[in-house]
Amino acid sequence: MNILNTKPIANCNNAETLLPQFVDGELSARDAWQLEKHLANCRDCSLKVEQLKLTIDLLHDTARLDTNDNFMAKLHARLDDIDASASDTRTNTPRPSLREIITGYTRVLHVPGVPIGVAIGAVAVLMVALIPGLKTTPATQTTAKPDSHISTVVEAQLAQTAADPLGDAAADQLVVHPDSAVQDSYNP
Amino acid sequence: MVAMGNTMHADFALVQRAKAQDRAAFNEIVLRYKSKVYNYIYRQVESAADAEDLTQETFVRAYLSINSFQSRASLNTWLFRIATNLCIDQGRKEKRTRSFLAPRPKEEDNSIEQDVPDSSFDPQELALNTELGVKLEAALRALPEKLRTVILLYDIEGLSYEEISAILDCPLGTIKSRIFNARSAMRDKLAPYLQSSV
Ligand SMILES: [Zn+2]
Repeated sequence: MNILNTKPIANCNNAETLLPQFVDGELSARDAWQLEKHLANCRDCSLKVEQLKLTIDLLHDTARLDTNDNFMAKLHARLDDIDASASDTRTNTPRPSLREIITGYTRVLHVPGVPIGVAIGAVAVLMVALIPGLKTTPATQTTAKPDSHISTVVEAQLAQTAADPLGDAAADQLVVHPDSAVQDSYNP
Repeated sequence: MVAMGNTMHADFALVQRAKAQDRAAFNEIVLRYKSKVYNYIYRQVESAADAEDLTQETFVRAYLSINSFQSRASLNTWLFRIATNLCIDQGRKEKRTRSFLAPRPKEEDNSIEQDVPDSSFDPQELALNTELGVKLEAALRALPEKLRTVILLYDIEGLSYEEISAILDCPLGTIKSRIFNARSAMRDKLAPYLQSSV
């Protein structure tokens, strides 16, 4: 009768224990054959298997959901805050803010109708404000890692200003070391 | 398997860049995983607003701890681990709040007879207007947390036994039996609505 000489699945409890692997196709060929034999003769168990398979199909077909449209903007705003407040323990990379600042300066210089003298004055003020960073700002130097994307110290200075727009670090340094900064930077 | 390998390779490169404070790389990581994470969290918490908040929190935590991420783990596993821990915390908070407001069946109770969803849960948001879809979502929510977590990760998010074992710090055998128990519980709940050919 039992040609493969395996333990026959005598009852529904035995069948039940094999179901998890059976529905995932992980049952050995021999066990699968035994179970199928039982299922062919047991309406209860075959109904259970059928319903289990349908349930799994339903789970696989559930609707996929996604976040609100403003998710990314909200997240980056939070990350900006984190960067701004964690400059002691983490290197800042306020690149978007940096870009904004540069764009802001550029816009000032390109407004039509602004007298050329004002533009030149703005350039001069900007240079004086930025150049002290070259030699006199150890805080800025430690902020910019060698492998970071901030390639020049002037950019690092800008980044520092961007991270701390109200603190106006560049202006503070101008007060402390005005002469040495100008001399160093204009040294031919 | 090849596709999975490529994904992991691309993830690895993104993580390396994100560790060097490359925001664009982190942005890419978020874009890759946010819907998976949201989809998972949505079915663990009581409202879409909570799901949105916890998904934000998942990526904020990932951002803060990206340097502690071990590259031998998969990014997928790591993010789901953060999300799962947040959901468990949230579940405890909700439970505490509820216990002040109204008595509710015990979470440990394996019965899913009490499948009436909370009023803040709106199944219409799932765009599942079919009766069966609504029943399925309600049955998932009525599962005990441990069973719901494994079935969401395995059958809905498609993670492997090994990944789930790593996420939950549980032996493989435990994960497998929980998945089966969860599927059986779902089947028993949905049986009256299933069109069987048998
Ligand atoms: Zn049977």
